[in-house]
Amino acid sequence: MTRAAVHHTLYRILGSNQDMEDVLQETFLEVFRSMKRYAARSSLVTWCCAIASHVALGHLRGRRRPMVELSDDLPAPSPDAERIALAREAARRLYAALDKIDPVHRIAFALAVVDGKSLQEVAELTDSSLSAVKTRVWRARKELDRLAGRDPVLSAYVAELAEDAPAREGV
Amino acid sequence: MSRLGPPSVEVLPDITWARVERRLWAALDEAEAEVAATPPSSSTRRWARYGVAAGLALAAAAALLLLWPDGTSRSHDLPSRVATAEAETTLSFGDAEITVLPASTVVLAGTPARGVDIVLEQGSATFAVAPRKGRPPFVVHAGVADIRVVGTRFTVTRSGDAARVEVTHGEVEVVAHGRRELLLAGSSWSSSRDGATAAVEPAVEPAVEPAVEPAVEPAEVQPRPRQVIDPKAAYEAAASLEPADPVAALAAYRKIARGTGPWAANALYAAARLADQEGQPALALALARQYTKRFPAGANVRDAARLITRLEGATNATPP
Repeated sequence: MTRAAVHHTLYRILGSNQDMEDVLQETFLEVFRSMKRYAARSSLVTWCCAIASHVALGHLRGRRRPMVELSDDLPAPSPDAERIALAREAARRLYAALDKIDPVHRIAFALAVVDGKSLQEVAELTDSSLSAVKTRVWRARKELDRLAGRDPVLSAYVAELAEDAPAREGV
Repeated sequence: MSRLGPPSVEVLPDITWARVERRLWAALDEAEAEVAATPPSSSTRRWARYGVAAGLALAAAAALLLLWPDGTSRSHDLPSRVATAEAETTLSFGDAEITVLPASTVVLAGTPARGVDIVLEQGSATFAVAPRKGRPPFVVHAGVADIRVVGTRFTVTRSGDAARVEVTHGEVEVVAHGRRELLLAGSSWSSSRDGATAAVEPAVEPAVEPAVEPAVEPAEVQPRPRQVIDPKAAYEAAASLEPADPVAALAAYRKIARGTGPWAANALYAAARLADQEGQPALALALARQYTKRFPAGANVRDAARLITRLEGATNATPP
């Protein structure tokens, strides 16, 4: 399902559906404009997701939104909803921190660590070399560690995601 | 802290996808219009123009494949796009006859052997489809609605995300927002103007014989007792629908306009006027032109001419 894969890739990079409609629109238009260049070296889905990553990069670079400030406040604990609320809060803090780092590093990190793609897949999606992807993920991780210095929630979340990601050998 | 896992991906609502789809078609249409407007000053340019047009057709086909929920399974069946201007056109597609009404666009995909998917991009189309007993599926997509044919004749009208389905014979299943409705002959389904909500109007007993025969009747469609419609009553019913459900009113006017006589003329002008009010200038222009052509001595011919002048002026004034 091409459109679902494109949406999934964009969601992982952007972290929400906030600007999704515009970014999807731009992605598909870009797909049509580039259709004649599609050489079937990768699957159509991968090719569309690579275009989506590229469009998302342009979107992140051009975005001038007030950054979400990291906060030390934790959500109020509630026995049933605590884990969900904590996961949501951790994700919010993660993307707020990702807003502050280089979009190129952010995309590599989002795809490799948050989404769990292999470094090779990320290289294919971002039209980069394997070593470049490793470097970007590593730099993103360093940046996030610095930003999460006094935020135990974010710090633990980044560590957990990095530990679970198949690409962790380079992280 | 217990393990939280990666953040979940929030599903994008159908209505947003429908909007993305609509904006894409609009962008492609715009590009096509730009190509068409380019004057061919030399043979090289003319060929370049044809090349761009072919590219856009391919892009339109690709759009369908990419936006289709199960597009990958049909990626080898390149779709065809049919757009009408001032006249309707009738197509045969497998065991179906499709009448695309003026100022409407449909995209046909799949094959009769494996299953047919049709996207109604804008306007109205009437479908006469053989019963699906044991045959591959036949599905029409219009805005928020997916209409699965059981074996029938029906009309679909789309305006933005809103859609309306009227069943003449047999039955269809409409799926929208995860809800299924089975429509029997004589009943109709319509969504609200933003496509967010929907309502079913049950079948009513027919009253009079129709003024006009439908254009094509596939052999497999079982003959049914014909619905009887008094054109004046139908016109008044359409007029009463206007304030609450302009999409349904527009569809009803266009249906009456397919007939002959003064009520067809009134309905055709009313459809043009309503399309203009509803922000569909291309449709309004096509219908008004159709009116002046079909009813040059009609009561609304001056109004139609004024509408044409205004809409043409607006089109010419639109910056490239």
